[in-house]
Amino acid sequence: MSESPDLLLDPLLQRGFRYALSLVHDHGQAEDLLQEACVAISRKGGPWKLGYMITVIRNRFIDQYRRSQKIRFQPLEEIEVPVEAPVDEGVGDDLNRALGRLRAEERELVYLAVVENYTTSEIAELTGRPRGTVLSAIHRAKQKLRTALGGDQAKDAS
Amino acid sequence: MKANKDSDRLDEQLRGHYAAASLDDDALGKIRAAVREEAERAAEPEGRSRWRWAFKYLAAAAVLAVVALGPYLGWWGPGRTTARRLAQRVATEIALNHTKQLPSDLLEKDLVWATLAAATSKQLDFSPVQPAAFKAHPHRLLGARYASVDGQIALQIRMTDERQDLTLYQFRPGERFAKLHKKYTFEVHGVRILIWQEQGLVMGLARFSADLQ
Repeated sequence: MSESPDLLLDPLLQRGFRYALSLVHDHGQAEDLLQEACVAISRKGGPWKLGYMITVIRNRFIDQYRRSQKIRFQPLEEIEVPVEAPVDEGVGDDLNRALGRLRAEERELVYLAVVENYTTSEIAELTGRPRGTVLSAIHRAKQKLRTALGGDQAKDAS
Repeated sequence: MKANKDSDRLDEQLRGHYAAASLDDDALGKIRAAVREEAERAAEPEGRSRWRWAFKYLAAAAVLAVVALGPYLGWWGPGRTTARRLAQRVATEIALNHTKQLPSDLLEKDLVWATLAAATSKQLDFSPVQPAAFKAHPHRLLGARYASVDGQIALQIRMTDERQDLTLYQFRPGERFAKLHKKYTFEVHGVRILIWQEQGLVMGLARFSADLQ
């Protein structure tokens, strides 16, 4: 069985937290989601790697919200209910608000592509979506962000 | 060139945004403790595990008994839904519809309440009304869309008061909503919703919380 995470794995926990945050867009819920995922990983004995942690977080997120029936996790092609939690209170910056208006699927894609530098193929494999869908979804999500942020960014050519 | 610069700028902002979000030492410690506890539990001797499983079976049996007997004892059941929970269910649906921002079925220039009522009279089982609060509050109707809320046919009315976009939902209450007497305010998925009854209709007013700042 792999060793429990210690201080050396804190960077991994932070990255897992940020990924969870991209899904739920709420600090407290992201923390809870990460903790549940880490407990599940520990139960299985690891591995303590980012790719596996992201998969576990993602699966728990989908299960959790399917069970609560608050939100449906739907393919990106459909216009569907956004999977998100209330925006953190007290956080007023424009980008945070703009991210709050995206669907969870969109935030997830943008996060993985921009922050974690996943390739489109890697994201397609992780999310079970065609590569073309991922590419266009990331583009649309960024356009939405630019529009929400306003100014010169809204004029970014496709 | 400009497109690339804008793209780079957004990417930089996104990286900065997420880099700034982090767990503090307490949170990290809590997660590490939970993981250690799980790892220790997995390594427990078999005897202790057996007692733990026995307890779990007993707890599950107790839960099943409550589930089976609850309605007969009046502990829970269809009649136990409180007004607040009902309003919350409605608010959740309204928030999700509001965020969808689907196109209007009715788009007329200079749409007013009177023409809205006339235009929807065949499709709805009620006549949409102007809420009392809006009689003195300047606003403009932008369009309307047929919707459903909690299984009831409803009208989704897009409005603006020049400061923010609003969506007003109206539907006939029916028996289920008879207990909805108060006004309720909810915050769901970044949308602020006010639910109330007026002029014989259930009304829900939605606006993005961000617009309220």
